[in-house]
Amino acid sequence: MITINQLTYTYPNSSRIALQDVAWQVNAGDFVLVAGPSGSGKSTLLRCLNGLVPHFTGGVIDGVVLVNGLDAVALGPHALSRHVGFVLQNPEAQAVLDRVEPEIAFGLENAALPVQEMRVRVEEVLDLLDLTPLRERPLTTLSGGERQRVAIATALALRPQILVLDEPTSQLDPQSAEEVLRALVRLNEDLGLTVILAEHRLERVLRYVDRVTYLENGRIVVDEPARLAVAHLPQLPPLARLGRELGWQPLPLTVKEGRRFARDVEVKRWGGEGVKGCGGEEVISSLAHPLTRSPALLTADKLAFAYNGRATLNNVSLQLHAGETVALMVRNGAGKSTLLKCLVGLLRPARGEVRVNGRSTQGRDAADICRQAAYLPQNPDDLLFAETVAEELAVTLRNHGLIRQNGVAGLLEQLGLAHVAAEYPRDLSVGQRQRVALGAVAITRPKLLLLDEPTRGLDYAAKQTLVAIWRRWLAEGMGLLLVTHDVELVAQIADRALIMSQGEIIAEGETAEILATSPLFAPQIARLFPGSGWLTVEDALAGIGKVAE
Amino acid sequence: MMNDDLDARSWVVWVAAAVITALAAHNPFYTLIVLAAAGAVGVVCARPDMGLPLPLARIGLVILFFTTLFNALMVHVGATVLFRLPGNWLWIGGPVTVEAAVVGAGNGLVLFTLLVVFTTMNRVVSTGELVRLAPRALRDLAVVVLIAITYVPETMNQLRRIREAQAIRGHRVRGLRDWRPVLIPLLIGGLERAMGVAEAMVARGYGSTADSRQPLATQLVLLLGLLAAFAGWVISFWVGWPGWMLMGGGVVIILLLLWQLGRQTPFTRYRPRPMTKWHVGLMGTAVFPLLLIFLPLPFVDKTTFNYSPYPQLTIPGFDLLTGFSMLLLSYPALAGWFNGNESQLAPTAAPQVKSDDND
Amino acid sequence: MRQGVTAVIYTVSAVIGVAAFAYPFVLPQTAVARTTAHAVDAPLLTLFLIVISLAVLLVEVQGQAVSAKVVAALGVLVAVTAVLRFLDTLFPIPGGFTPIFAPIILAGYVFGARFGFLLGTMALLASALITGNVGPWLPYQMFTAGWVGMTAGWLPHPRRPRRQIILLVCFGFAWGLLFGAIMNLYFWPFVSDGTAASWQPGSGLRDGIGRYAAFYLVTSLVWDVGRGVGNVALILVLGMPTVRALARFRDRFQFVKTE
Repeated sequence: MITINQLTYTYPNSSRIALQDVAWQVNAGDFVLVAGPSGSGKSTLLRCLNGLVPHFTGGVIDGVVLVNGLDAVALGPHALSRHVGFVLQNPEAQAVLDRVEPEIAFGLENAALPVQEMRVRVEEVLDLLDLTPLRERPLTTLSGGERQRVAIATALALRPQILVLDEPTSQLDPQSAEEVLRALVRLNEDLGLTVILAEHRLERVLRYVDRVTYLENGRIVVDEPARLAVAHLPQLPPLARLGRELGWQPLPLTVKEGRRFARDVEVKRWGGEGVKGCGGEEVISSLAHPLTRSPALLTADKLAFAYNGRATLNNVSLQLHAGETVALMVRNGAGKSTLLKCLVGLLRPARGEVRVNGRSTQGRDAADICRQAAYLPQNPDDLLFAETVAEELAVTLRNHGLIRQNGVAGLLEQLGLAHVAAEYPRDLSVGQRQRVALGAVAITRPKLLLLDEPTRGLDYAAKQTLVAIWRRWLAEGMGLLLVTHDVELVAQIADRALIMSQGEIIAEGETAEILATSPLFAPQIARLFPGSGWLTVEDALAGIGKVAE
Repeated sequence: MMNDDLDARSWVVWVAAAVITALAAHNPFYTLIVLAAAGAVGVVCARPDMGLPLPLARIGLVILFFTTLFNALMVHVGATVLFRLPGNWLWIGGPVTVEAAVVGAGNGLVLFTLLVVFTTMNRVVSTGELVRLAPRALRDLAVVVLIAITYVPETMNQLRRIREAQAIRGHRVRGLRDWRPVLIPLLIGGLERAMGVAEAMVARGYGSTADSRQPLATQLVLLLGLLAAFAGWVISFWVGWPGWMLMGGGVVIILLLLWQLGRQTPFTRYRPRPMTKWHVGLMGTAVFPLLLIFLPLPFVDKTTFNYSPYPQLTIPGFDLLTGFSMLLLSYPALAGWFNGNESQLAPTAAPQVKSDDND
Repeated sequence: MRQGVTAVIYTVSAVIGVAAFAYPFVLPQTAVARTTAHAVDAPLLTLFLIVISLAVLLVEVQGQAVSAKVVAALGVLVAVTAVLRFLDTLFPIPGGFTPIFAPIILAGYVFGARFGFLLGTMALLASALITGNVGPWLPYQMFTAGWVGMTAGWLPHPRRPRRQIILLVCFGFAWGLLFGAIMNLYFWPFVSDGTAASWQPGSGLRDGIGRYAAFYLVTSLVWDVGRGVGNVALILVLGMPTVRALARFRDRFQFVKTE
């Protein structure tokens, strides 16, 4: 179906080789995962499949790309649009028209298909992706997952045999992502569509795919059936990593498979001790940071907010102390941004009070509050406008009238950005941009940091860099409020966790007990050892090791 | 429901007819009839999602006031002198006459009528329908407008997000300079989004022809049509008909070329709009007054089309048949009102729209 | 050869523009006296002429400049411009200021004359469609705004940023005034139509311009100065960062296939 040989490609005005000597083959009906760190060439490889590289991007290409026997390099994207459907990362930047049905028909209109044929195809893809109830809706009223399904429908309307998706779920919350992935699995299984998917979060997709191709620095380093590939992938989901550490064979891809081994672990190590009996004091105290009950950095007291007569926040209270990380996990994202905006004074709560450092925020403007409680919005690009990275940080200081206090160089050092201080922020990688944005809000040396989905779209390495920075600041006495869907991140760093649903806090407590009991937010390790209180691979290894002693 | 299957082309005929009637029949009685008809259509046929109408009455009064004042002060002709301004006042010095004021008011009335006609069109025909009017040869530009309409809400959201993001890092908008941190990310974000949209479009097979440059022949025909239209327009100032014919010839050349280019553009409309009885009615009634004005019909009093109050103010003449024909411009209002009465029998408007859509 | 024809088309269109806007001044006495009716249909014929001229230019420019990238870039930039237009109440500048011209000028300056022309016409068209302002004035506005963008693309690119900004500021101010004056001209025949002129002995070119000047002073000078000053302020403050931001995308948008 797809044969790539000796493919080497360099982007225009770039000295780095984006793909080097790539040889790759995909069989009809396969579900292939393309993985690898940011900048490893995943996107570039996918764009070769329909001729976007080099016809859209320019640059120098050498090698053979055969798709359905067609030479993609020579023929270009127009000829290949009937063979390869393409879905991009950002659900908000790939629609042409503003309603579902016309948007799906747009490609067909330009292909000049007869009207009857168009009607049939549109109905067909509406059914395939469960979009029939949404067909009349404006796209702006859809969720991210629904929009990505529309994008898939749009691609499939041209009846390609291959569907290529470039990180389609990286901007979505877990439920929407699951919805999109299930649609892909169904298309692959029922219709025999060849699906090629690039994705960061392996834990979501590993169980669905037939094959994994892992790229690093423009080269394919792993290309094997999923079960074999997990044995030597550089980055692995927690379950597979634990399996590898403990020598499980064959490596489990799903929690269900893993339970078989997990049962053995429990039986062997704990000698039939009841699952429930094992939770509690001992385990939690071993992993939670000892909390000094210093005065609260942030207190929200019974916040309420209504938007258009509908309550988006109802009686929300929370507290955050120095050196503590609190994770707020929100079902369906409802009320998340309202809460954050109320905390930093962008919105005035209808009822209730917010205190930062013990001072009420009533009557203070957002700029004043954010000097002490820095807030990193979800999309770092909304912040960046200066010509250099260093300037970007200095602007914030100037805004606050603090320009004499010069900590720019020091903070850049901490953020690992010193070597790019003079570069244009928008040219940096996603992870670096996220850190520039973090620096831009944290340059005032606040005691408190509010983070909105800080790991969205980041690869493993970029995440770990951020975690290391936060750990250092936490040790210096900063408080961290983390609003996220990334359960593995919460498991790794949070002391306490809150779950919010429909604008109310429905669960609150130590991270371990909250995550372990939540069917939606439990990380893989917690699902594997229910009641153990373990959340991460490290917890599990430590726990098992301790029992073994 | 009527608005769902609107064909903008028939509305264009209606607008053109109303505009030409208002301009060609220079007589305040006729102008008032067109004004009333257009106003009625605007009230009855407006799309349900349209907001409140413009404060048209107030705008009309302002227009009338200024045109009357201007003409009265600038044109010192006419028998009925109201008063005199000193002759050494530049331009406005001289006799101020009732006739000049009436001419000014008449001009204002025509202007206001045109405004009402177009406001009505804007209130009746949806944006998407208007874009459908673009000739197929200009399909790319129609897509530009469609993309723009799609991304306005997105851009508004982004603007809000950026303003918040800047506010939390201590940014306050005090002067023009402070818009920089807001507008630059908005612009760059927009351009980055454009790259995504372009990529998605190309991946979906948009932009078939690699070299879309016009061949020389096309260019020459364009030039020929343009020159013919221009020459005709110039000539029409001295001799009417030949000029108009030449200009019409130029227009036809361009239209034929557009049609020919359109046939080369691969495109089919997903939901074609069939012409219904209602559209035929709309166009047929709209063209009627034009026939009476422009055809040499013996039973129409043509002198009523060229009312002029100079040199001495008179009551304008009125041709009953012509006046009645202009009333036909309100056909959509009458038909809509009729439909509206029928639809009141249904329990509510909203479910009815839905059931129609599902058919 | 094609280049030559293109140049001729632009020239004819420019001449038509000037003629269509200036004809009320030179409207021959004989013509008007001969038929008063013509004074009424002259604005209509002129509107047709402008529409035709606009269509010819659009076909010509579209044929030369358009790829999916340009279509998408235009679409999104038009959306940004339309959103800026909603903002005009937020800028504390009185008069007829609308921030729609600065982006047209700057984009034309960076991306070239054809892109500028298309952005000018499409920005005016789309915002008229969105705000429900389609009317007989629209073709004139599109035509004029298109020429704003087109001429911006013809400006020289001095090396020193300071000179660039001075150039753009002057250009923005001039078009700010000119746009208002031109838009009034289309309006002018309605206000002072030939019927009156034919009854006005000695109404010639000079007198016509004089009366127009009075009309202009009364109705719109304040607005136009506001617009001009607004353009100056916007370009002064945002011009260079915008030019730099656009220039960063220039290569990505104007990529020509290499095979």
